[in-house]
Amino acid sequence: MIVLAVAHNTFREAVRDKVLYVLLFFSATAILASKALGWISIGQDIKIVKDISLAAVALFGVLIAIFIGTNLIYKEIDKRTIYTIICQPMRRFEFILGKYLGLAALLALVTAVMTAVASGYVLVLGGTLDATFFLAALLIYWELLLLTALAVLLSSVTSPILGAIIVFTAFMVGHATSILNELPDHISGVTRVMMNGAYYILPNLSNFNIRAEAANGIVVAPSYVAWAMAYGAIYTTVLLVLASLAFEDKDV
Amino acid sequence: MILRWLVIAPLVLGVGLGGIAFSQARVDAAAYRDFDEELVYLPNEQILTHFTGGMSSVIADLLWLRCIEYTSQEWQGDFKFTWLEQMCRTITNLDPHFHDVYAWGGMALAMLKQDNDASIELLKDGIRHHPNSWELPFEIGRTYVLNRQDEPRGAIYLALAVATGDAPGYVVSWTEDLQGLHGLYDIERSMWQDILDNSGEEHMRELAARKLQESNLREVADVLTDLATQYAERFGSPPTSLDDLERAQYIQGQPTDPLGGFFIFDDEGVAYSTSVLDSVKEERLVPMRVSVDEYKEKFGAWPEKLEDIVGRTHATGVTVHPYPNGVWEYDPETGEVS
Repeated sequence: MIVLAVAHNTFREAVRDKVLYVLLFFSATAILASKALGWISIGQDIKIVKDISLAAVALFGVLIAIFIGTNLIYKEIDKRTIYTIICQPMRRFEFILGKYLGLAALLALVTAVMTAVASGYVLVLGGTLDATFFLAALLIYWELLLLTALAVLLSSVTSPILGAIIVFTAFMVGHATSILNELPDHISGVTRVMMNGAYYILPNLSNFNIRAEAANGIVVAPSYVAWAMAYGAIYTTVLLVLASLAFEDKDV
Repeated sequence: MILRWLVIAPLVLGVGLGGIAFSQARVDAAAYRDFDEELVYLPNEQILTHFTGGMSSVIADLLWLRCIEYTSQEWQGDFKFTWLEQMCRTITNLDPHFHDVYAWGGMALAMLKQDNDASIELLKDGIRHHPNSWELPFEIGRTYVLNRQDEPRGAIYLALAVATGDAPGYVVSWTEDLQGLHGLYDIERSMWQDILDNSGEEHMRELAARKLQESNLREVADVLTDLATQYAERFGSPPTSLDDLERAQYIQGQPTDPLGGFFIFDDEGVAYSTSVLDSVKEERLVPMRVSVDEYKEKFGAWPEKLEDIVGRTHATGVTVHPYPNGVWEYDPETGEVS
């Protein structure tokens, strides 16, 4: 109950953040402007609109997760509003969880709105939508949940700027981890083992990327989506536990 | 306040934008790299794929637009298409499902750059990602037939295109003609069998069932033609009917036609199945009937003779009758062709 109250307040506070609307505006503009590229693409306009729409949902979702997520706990400490909260009969991990769920709800709303705009636009342009398009949006949301958990963890241990840099780096590296599993033959021994180990430890965000399949109308196996979601759920849980532990030990 | 927004701001904006446009024009004029040189810096696609932050599909789209622009410039310029293959490869590495890059790139590499190997390899990669696409094997088949004059191999790829069940009628006809021409009956039959087993369209399954039988009949006709050649060598003239072959003991009995037709010989001793000829005749009648109707619509009357449709409608000629020495029957009163 307390968790939900914190989540509700976090959601209300985040919705009032002007940054959110600026990012939403740019996202919608990118989606609507994508048709301009389609005009010169020799019959690929719908594919390009779908590609850019899903990329906009992902990119602006990540920016929202970074800008709001890395400030989430830090702001409470910086403005000393944390004192009015932690003196309430609530455990610290409940506070972290509530904050996270509030932001997760906001991201769900943002992803749903942007996906609805993109879907409507594709239909208006005469394109068709299949299940893969919506599964791609679902996996984007799952990726945002993981990155938000990382942002919350960093928000409780470091400054927003450093946190934002680390989350953005994690986003870029997370989409390149497959390189660690496709090493050339001349890399062997301990180096190879370490790099292969890093492949399994680092967040593999490519798991959540089925946007190319969605844009090209390729069917994705439900088992793939289910396993990707399971991977995201486990990773997110680990990060939230670490965030709770870090916040438990923090002197505020 | 009003002065600031109505005078100073527009003035600054106007002068500023003018200055920006002018300096951009100067930068363009002083550019030291041309389009081709810029493309030398196209990053290695294997590395690029890993560092796009999940945006590889969008980057593939942007490169696709660049590829179109490049092809257009080469078309109007040097006609070398030096970077076309690398561009297509980069795009398909970034987005392996980008179907039209395989189809269009394969065609452009073969037809414009005359690089058949690159075209075929790109298209084969495309088939691995799009096994149900008819366009990709069709492009390979076309390259083998038109650029390499290798009709038997081309016919095999065309058969793959037809086996998808989505290939348009002209591809099916072309494939069938080539297979018949080169005696590729097994390939042809497996193609039709695939359609019969897998096509979701009832009319395609019916067509496949008939074509399977026609393929058998054409193979029988080929055997009869070979026997007629031996007959002609022995007797000095080709047989006029199957009875001649039977009397000379080249065949033990006369082959039957499950479609209700029979076998005939032309003056050269080439054997035909009338069921197959009737099928070809029906196919050839369709465009002629369309042209006759077009003539009536244009001139308000049926053409006096069939040749009148040439040049006055979309028809470029009167199709040859498939029967040896056959002629089309035409009624100028009703416009009926048969």
